Amino acid sequence: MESNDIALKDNNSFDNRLSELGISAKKSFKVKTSGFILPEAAKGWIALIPALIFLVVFMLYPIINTFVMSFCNNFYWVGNSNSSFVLTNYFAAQQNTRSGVTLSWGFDNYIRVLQDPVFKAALGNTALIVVISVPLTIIVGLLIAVALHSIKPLQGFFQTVFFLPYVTNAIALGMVFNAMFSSSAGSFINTLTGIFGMSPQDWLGITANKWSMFFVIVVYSIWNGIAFKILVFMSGLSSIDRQYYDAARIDGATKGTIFRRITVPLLSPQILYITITSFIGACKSYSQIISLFSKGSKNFGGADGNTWITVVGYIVKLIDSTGDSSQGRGAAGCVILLIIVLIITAVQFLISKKRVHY
Amino acid sequence: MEVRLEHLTKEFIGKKNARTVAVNDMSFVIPDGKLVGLLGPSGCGKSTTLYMIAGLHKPTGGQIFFGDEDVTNIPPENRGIGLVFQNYALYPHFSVRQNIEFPLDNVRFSTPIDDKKAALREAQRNLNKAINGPDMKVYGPAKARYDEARDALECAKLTLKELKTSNPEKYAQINQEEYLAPKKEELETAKIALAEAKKTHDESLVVPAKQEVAKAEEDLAKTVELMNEMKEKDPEKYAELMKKKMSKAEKDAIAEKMAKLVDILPYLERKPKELSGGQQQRVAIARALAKTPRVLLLDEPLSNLDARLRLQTREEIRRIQQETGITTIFVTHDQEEAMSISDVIVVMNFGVVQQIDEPQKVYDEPINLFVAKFLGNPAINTFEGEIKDGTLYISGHEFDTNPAYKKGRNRKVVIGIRPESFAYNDSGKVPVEISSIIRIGRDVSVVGKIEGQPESNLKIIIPSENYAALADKDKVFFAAKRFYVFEESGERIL
Ligand SMILES: Nc1ncnc2c1ncn2[C@@H]1O[C@H](COP(=O)(O)OP(=O)(O)OP(=O)(O)O)[C@@H](O)[C@H]1O
Ligand SMILES: [Mg+2]
Repeated sequence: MESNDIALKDNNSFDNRLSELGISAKKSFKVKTSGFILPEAAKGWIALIPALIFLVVFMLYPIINTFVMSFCNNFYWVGNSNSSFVLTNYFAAQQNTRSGVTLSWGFDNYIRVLQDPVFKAALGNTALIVVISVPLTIIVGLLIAVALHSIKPLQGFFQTVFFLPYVTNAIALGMVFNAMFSSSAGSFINTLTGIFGMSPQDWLGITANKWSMFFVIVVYSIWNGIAFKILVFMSGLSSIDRQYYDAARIDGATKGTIFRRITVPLLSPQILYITITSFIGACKSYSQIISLFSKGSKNFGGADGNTWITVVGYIVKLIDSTGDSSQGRGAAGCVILLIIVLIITAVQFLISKKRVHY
Repeated sequence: MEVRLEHLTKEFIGKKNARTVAVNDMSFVIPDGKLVGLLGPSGCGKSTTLYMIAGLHKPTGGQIFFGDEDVTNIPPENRGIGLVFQNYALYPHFSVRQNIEFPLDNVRFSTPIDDKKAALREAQRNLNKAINGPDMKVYGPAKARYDEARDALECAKLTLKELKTSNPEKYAQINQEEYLAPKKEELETAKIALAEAKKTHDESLVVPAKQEVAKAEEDLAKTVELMNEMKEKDPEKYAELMKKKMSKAEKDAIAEKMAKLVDILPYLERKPKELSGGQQQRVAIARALAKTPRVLLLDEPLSNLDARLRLQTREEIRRIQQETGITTIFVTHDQEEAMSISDVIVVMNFGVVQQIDEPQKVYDEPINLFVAKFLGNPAINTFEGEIKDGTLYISGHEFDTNPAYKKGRNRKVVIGIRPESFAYNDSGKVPVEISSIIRIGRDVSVVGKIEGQPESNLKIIIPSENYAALADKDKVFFAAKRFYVFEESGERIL
């Protein structure tokens, strides 16, 4: 105790002597730095470079490409081939005197696409798929998620069941649907409907009714998309404090009221996210249609193979063919789709501002 | 509304069948209009008790009564309770007004026609019961007799049949008719008796039940007629009677009244997250009070508040409770909180009720060592004592004599003295080695040790006029104005 005190005093006197000499007794901290310091922002940019390269090469360039293509009225004739690397073709064409054709720019592609009855049909089909399948999937997904969340036994099992379509390849799933809904009398669905006394039906084949095909498309879309939605909703549900439910029960709310006034509003961020992503996804419908009909990448059902053509299907068909500026028109289709999706998304955001409770 | 718990028990069964008895055989009565503090250390089962009263947890044993009504199996929404959660659980997406009005949104009035329809359904159910479920008192004995007679006859027939194959000689000797006749006769009489019993049964039960149904039908028809008439002549009254939900104006009026009561009127249109903790807590109370509950339950409602707000809010809870006169149960682990606002304190430990009394009584007359230690701040001082031949010793010094010590054998005991129960007195019997003396306002706080005692953190609080006399002393004698003696197991001796 005492010796400690003395030590302290000694120290003090050292301090005094040091300060008399004008030396600070306390060591000040200095962080050693190298001569060259990157500003924070620059570090950020460097870290972003790999991603940026990919973004520029695989996103920005194709987008610009598409825009340029869509405004080039006579793209095919200028190009040396039907390669879609139009910018290189474009520069080549400028030097290519042999072709003798000069590039002309304008809205020709857009006008032709918008006047094309097939495009109009594709637009209508896509709109129908969006309007019917998106709300249905969301509602069914939400109900399943709420049901799954409220049961204890077998929850894991059912979660796995509903997650299966997520890990299944969409094309494979389509083929399975195709087989199940095939016209033959022994097909799974026809056997099933037969139990209820319905006669076997051609669901997807050439003789099929347009609406029976649509029915299968909707069922397929729901099944294909539901796993992810359930997953998102379940995670949202488990983040809602249980006490709100206890409080609501004490407040005399029925199950329906609790769902409508507590669960849905508290889940609104997830619902908005799912709504926007599934809207965009449904606007891009293509692979589920061709995999359902399983007759190649340009068959959309029906005798003419065009019954359920979608906007993306229309674009694929154009880009994949040659002649008559078809690629330019395909590009114009892309831009139109982009604009539609942007508008719908913006509207959803505006509406949700009022309704989403973060 | 009086609340009565009878042998209430809750056992949680966790993973691998691990059992936790959160509440063990709890019985007490909360008188109508009183505020009861449920006090105990963390994890002793206070919330569990509260949730069982609320209906959110199902008891594994025992019953809960509100008044004379057994509510044990009634779901929370029908119990008429208000509950303020430990962390309020205000709906984050609702404004304060919507939060308070939510319980009112769920209120459903039944119209006179609904009531009569319900009565009719009930009458029909009773009729069905009368027809299908025979009343055993009337019907049972006759039925049993009939069954017995029938079985006896069957048995006899079987015996004959067996005899025919196993012992044909004997079989031939038996006169079948004669053998079976009494049994047949008995069956016939039993049958008649049964029919008669059925008739009495029908007359005593089915006929009145049918009459009840007819009356209920008639009542319903009359009510419908009356309501139709009223619709023409007094549409206002008709609308009032036929209303199923509360109108927006009514709800607003109640919400505003509640908001005024808890003093949050200016914040009605805000969202909960735009309020301070204390304001949120008051919103939670307003929500719990909105549908005028029969019982108000508060689960540590002050735990999230700072010291000053806590003091202020607890006064407010007391005021609101007294203004509304609603029977209230207030859970806390803070003894001071419980002492200051409760009419009655229930002290719990490990799911078992230790003592139920008025706050001052719990403090002055603790029933056991746990209660003595749990109440009071600074906590009660405890010492090792010894009872030898009817005298109590502390560290070998004679401390007290009392007839109560004469009972039982010589043994070690625990002596408890509250810090404020000491008095400075040279002829006192508690020798204290002082390690520090601090004067705080009107008190002097002495920290020290009794020679030969393990507890070195003895606390004494005496009036500050003693300061001068104590200031430079190392060893002082104190007298104990009040002390408690406990068995080592915690039981109170004196
Ligand atoms: N759902 C549950 N499953 C299993 N055990 C539980 C469950 N809920 C509570 N318990 C146990 O029951 C006992 C009492 O819990 P309770 O929540 O009633 O304590 P408390 O007195 O409210 O404590 P605190 O003051 O900390 O809120 C604790 O031991 C706790 O671990
Ligand atoms: Mg608790």
